[in-house]
Amino acid sequence: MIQFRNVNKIYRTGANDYPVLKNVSFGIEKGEYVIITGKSGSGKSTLLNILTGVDNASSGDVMVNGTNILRLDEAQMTRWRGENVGIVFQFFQLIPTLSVLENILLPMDLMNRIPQGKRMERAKELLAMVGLSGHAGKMPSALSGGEQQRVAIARAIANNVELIVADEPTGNLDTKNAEMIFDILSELNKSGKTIVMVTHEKDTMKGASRKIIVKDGEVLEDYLLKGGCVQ
Amino acid sequence: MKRLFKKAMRDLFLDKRRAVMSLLAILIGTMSFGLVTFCYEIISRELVSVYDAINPASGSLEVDRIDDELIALTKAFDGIAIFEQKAYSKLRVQTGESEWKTLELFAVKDFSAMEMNKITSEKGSFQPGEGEALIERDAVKVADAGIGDTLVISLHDGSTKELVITGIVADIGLHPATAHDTVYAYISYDTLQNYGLTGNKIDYIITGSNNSPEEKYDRERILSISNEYIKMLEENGYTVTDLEVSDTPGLSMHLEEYKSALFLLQIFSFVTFLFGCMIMSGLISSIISGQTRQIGILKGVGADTGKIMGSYMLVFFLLIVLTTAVSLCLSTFFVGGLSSALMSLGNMRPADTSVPGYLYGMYCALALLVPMIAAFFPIRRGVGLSVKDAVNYYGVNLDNKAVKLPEPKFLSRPVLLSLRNALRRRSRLLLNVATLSVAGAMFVSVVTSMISIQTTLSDNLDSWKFDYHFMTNTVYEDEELKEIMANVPAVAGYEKWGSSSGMLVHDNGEIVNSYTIVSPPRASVMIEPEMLEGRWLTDEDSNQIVVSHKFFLSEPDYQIGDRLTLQIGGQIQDFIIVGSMRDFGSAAIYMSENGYEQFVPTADRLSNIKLVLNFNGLRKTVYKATELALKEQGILILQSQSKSDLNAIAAGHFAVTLQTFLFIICMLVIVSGFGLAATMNVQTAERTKEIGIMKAMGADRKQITDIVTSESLLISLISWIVSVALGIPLSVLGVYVFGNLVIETPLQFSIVSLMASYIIWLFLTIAVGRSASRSCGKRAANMSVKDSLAFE
Repeated sequence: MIQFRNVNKIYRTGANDYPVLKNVSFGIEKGEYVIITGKSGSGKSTLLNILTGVDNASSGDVMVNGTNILRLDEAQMTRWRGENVGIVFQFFQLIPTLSVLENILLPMDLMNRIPQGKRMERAKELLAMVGLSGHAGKMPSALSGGEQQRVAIARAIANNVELIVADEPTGNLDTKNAEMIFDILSELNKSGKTIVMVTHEKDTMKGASRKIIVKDGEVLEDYLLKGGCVQ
Repeated sequence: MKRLFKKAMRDLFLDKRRAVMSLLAILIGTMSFGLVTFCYEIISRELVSVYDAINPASGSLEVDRIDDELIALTKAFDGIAIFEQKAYSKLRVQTGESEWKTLELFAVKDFSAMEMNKITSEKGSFQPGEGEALIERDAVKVADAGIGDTLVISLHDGSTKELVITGIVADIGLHPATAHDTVYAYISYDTLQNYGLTGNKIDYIITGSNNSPEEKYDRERILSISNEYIKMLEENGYTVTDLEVSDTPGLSMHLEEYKSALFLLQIFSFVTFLFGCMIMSGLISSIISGQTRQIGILKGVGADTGKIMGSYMLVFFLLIVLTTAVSLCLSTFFVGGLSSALMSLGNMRPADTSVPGYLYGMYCALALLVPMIAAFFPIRRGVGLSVKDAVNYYGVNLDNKAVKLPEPKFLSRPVLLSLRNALRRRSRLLLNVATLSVAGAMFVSVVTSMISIQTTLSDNLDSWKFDYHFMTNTVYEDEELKEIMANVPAVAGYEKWGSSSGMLVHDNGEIVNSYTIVSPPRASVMIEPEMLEGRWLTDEDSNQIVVSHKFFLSEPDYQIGDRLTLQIGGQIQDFIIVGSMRDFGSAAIYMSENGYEQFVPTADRLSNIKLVLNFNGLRKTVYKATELALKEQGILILQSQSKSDLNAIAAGHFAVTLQTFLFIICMLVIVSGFGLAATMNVQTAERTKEIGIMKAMGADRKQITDIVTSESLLISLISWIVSVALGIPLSVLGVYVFGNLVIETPLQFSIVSLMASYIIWLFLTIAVGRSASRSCGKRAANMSVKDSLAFE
């Protein structure tokens, strides 16, 4: 489903070039639950940003379902991202002036893929799926961090995308809430979604099928996990 | 302190666009206020001094003859300090093929020795020779002739003469030639006599104890002395046919009009200045709000409130000093041009465009003080927070207590988002809605007044049911006139009106002023008077008269039902005022045909023939053909005017005044627009992260731009709704004020005018809203997802 081929990312400042990714190549199959981990500054977030089209690579190719996303222009990329990728951010990033339900409805309104009449029903289903049915009318500020992140996950899959990309989704949560998030992601993976997640978490990898360790812009290790534990 | 100052300076320019917009708003506001204030000072001063320099006459008399005896008698008359002989004739001048305009021709004995109502040379010679003339500078455009050109004039006997223009002069004692579509020319007495012209005028200045201007130009005293003078002349066998004493002797006829208009402009420009200050305050508020957490940190590391506040105040003080300095330079630079342009409307030019030092001082004090007061409160509020409150400050009202507007179901989520975003910052919303609403209400008021003026003028012109009229000194019999008109092809109908003049006599027997007498025939179909009070004339009336609204402006002590005494052709007659009508011509008295036949001696009668024409082609062509046909029929036309001329004169009177008001209103709208643009910049910057999230969810450029634009349009529409409410009382007031100021009569408040103004303002509001959000919308749409998400 996803192919990184010789991807390089170099940040150029006036005097020096800083390579952040060095000739990175790997593939991810449909339905995989991949964890990308590494130390701060290792390049893992850049990897994720390139996968979601938020950032560009300096060279190489990133093929997603046969599309080389590095060749898409801005408008095509925006459309592609909305149709194919659901992003879960570390700081939840819900729109503060929209209610919980409206936050989930927003991507459906933006992409217009789901018929108007079915959007509300789907939003409510997604909210029920993350266990927040009773919070539909609340504003995000009225929810706890964990609850906000569950809403963010529901929002990420609102357009029924195949790929969910999460950037340290539990980085701001306590253990209990982090557990709940991993459970939800795991359930989504079981329902067929491909999940790519960047995380610092060392122990909790419940449901993940593969781990990629990035160090100094290179893939240091890439191995399969079993039952969420280090194989 | 140095570090804090540096930080405050950087904070200000963190968002350069926002800072520039706000600075422009205050700059334009301060400049408009300065410009109008300085103009007011210059024009008020110069109108007095420039007019004073011509040494205006206290009064002017028209007598049947001027001879050595009259000169001797006048010299010996105690009440008159100086006097001057002049000749005046009202003729016609050719301005095109079969096109004639009114010519007011003056003869002066020695141009360079004029002692009062002085004219000054602008170009060419100042002493016309025989067959030569000087032309008034404003009349050059009317006659479309300059030095070296020849004026063809038509004399009272129908013959034509030529006058070669040898010089251009300025005569600021007359009404501007362009406003009256009249040509003023000046000739020598030799030419006057050779052309067989008469018209004996005596201009004079009365004596005053110590030659004080107050007494020279005291109207009561002038009237009293003038009457003694007239009495003396009449006792010596002279006949005085006209007395002219200005309503405001010694002062320019434009002074009050200018002062009132400039006072109104000053109010408008002060509002513009206040708007600039409010927008500045909004900028400061948003800067402080954006820095609140950092302020908390600064306090946490030991900076005290006074120092932080001082650093921000110092930065803004320097900025205000800068904007004041720039606006002062711009105002000073433009004030000369603007004063000259405005004074040129009254055919005057300022001799000195300097602004007195004290006014600069007052202006600078105000321009510095008001914005600093506006800056003080948001700075104190933001800096005054405790460390805990400041560090935990999120700036945006995210609770459910925020203002909620009805949210129609059909609105899309992104538009809904814009709507709610606009309401996130209530004080900011209030500021924008307030500025735009007040600007809108003022705009609506001015435009409603403008439309009402145009409608009033047009309705008034419609009350005259003729297309063309001319004056002739031949009194035609009905049958004779019928035969003539039958031979003028375009004539579809005609009426013979009587015309004359009479001098108003007060109850104490004092002669006051001359007024035109107009007498429509019985059962006239060519007038449907617009009565302001009382009734129109009936066929049975004889000594009942109707006066035009301008009569009451000169004679405010009279009212409907009062007795009015006129001296017509040497006879004193009493009349009763039965009505007042709107008439934009000169002050006139309307008399029934019975009254005219009974009270106006035949020798003093002129005929005013009014024609209804068939327009089988261009109006101008028909007018020309009619003139020619009338001439072929042997009719001697003394003056003529078409309805198009009347229309142009009426419109020309008010156009520039209204344009000036519209200009200031545009300044107000521009400042409000800058305010909205600055706000949209802040609102969009605050939402950068949100925009990044939406882009990450697939929102395209158009959707992002639409969200920003919708928000701006929403603020504009809210302000439009408020301006609709505010606009009603302000328009009623505007119509009253503008009516009295511009056309000296209350305008009719028309709902149609108000609606039209609202529609114009709605379109303008939408345009302002769109332009205000255009650049920040584009910027938001162009920002990459990565940059948006990384925005702090």
